[in-house]
Amino acid sequence: MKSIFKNPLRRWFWLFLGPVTAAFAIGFVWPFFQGIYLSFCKFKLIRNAKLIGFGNYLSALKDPTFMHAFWYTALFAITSLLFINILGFAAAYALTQGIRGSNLYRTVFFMPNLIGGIVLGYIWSMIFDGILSRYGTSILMETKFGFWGLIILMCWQQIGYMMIIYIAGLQSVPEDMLEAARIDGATKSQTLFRVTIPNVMPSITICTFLSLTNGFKLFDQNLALTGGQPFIINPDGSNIKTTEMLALNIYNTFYNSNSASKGVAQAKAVLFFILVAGIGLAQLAYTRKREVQQ
Amino acid sequence: MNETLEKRSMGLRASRTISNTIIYVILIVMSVVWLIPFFCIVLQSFRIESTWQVGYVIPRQWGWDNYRALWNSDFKRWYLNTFIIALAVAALQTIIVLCMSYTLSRFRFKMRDGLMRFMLILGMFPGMLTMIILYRVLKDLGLTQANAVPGLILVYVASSGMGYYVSKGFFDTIPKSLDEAARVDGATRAQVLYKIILPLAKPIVIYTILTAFMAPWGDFVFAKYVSFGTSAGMNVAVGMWSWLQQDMIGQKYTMFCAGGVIVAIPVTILFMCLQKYYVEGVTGGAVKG
Repeated sequence: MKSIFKNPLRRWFWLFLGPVTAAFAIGFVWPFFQGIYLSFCKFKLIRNAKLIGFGNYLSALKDPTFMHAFWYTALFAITSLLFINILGFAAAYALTQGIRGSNLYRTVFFMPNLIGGIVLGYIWSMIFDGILSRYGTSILMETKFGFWGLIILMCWQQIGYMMIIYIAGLQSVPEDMLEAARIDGATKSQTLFRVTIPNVMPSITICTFLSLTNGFKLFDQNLALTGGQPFIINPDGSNIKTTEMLALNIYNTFYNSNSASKGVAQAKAVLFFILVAGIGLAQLAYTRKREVQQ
Repeated sequence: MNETLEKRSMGLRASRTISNTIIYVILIVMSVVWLIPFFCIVLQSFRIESTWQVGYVIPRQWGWDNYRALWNSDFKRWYLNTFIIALAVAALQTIIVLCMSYTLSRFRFKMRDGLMRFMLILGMFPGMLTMIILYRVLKDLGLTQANAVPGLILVYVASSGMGYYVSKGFFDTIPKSLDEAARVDGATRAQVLYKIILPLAKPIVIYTILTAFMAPWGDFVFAKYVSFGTSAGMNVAVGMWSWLQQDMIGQKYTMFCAGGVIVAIPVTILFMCLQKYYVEGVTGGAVKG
């Protein structure tokens, strides 16, 4: 009793911890584990879920739309990763060359990050359609339009963010190292590739993984820009949405009227989680390794 | 000898001017490309001759009609909803994230590494996984549809502890000896946090507030699911999305553009004022941490 009065922290412990713990439990922990449990069930309403084992996972992996979405997403994530990082780095490099007004450019490039993905997606679909309608086509007509349209949109949105991280990396390259290279007669490109880039590797690691995860998790922009169109109709009546990415595929599976589809969607979401977490863990391991080397 | 040196330096200066000019040209072209979409949406929002999508950008007739129509529509409600959610989430999430990162940065306890890794992985989970169950939970609590606002706040705040990574990285760069000196002088842990760490970590505090505000500001999937077609519980993204469906897009398209402008204004102003701190926060926490 005495210790409780002596230590007010202990008395108020639950008052402070309680609400947060409750919110965390209700809004996160419970749904998370229930979500994993439901991926092994067949259900239409959560109340009458029936455990069926790995059936949902088998159906998910056998689903051609899911596999298509997976490869499409992987291709998209890697392509966007290359474009975003090369252009973001180039912009950061240009802005650290003692340019006047670099703050203004930085603000301009960062601006697309300030608006939600849905609105951005519709703005760009309007722009693309404005251009493509002159050639009698639209972004919804061909898969390659949808793919490159989304790449342009994502570059536009993310280059500014990556650029900020790269600028910080570039600014932390020791000045005497650059000077030593200059005195030794290194050309500008030699300095860039032999001195600057090895020194900004931490930023490159962060940005690479960030753009990779963003690519895999992309949803709003995908939905707003093409919504998966154009579709390929198979002879058996099923269709493949050619520009549908993983998250949108899962979303569409949830809204499918088929009674078994909710469990399958749940299983797909678990697989999706494992994939994204795998990428994250790879990043963590990679960062750790680098820290040891330093 | 002297002449050649001079020539050489002149050549250097000339090549520097040329490369600088090239950089300027590229940057200006890029800025124009970056700003075009914003110009498009602003111009469309002032077009009054037609509410449909048209093949040209510059309006033939200008006016405030779209903004007036917004004022008389449900948009006001959606905007207020979004604002309340974003404000509440910004306040609560900032407190949680800062306490969490301070604890993880300064305290050493059993399972600390395990907890950090566990949280980091959980933080990557896609919202899709819990969507159905959360809807069920919120429905049982009576926090869906028209009451979606508190429900959404609950859900956004619930997972905010997972976002400790960047600010913990920043706290790690503040020397521990400062804490120890203050502790020796008799400060409590809480005093150390808000009298010493937070003033030094101003960039990351502002970064946390801004990101916490911006995430619900543009959120779509979850808000759509929880409001479930009830206009009173929608946020701006969901409400405006409903205007772009097949049956509405003809009448609401320019209103959508006007709404986009109104949505972008507060975050843009907020960002412009706090830009310096935001940049320091991103770079300090992510790169050094």
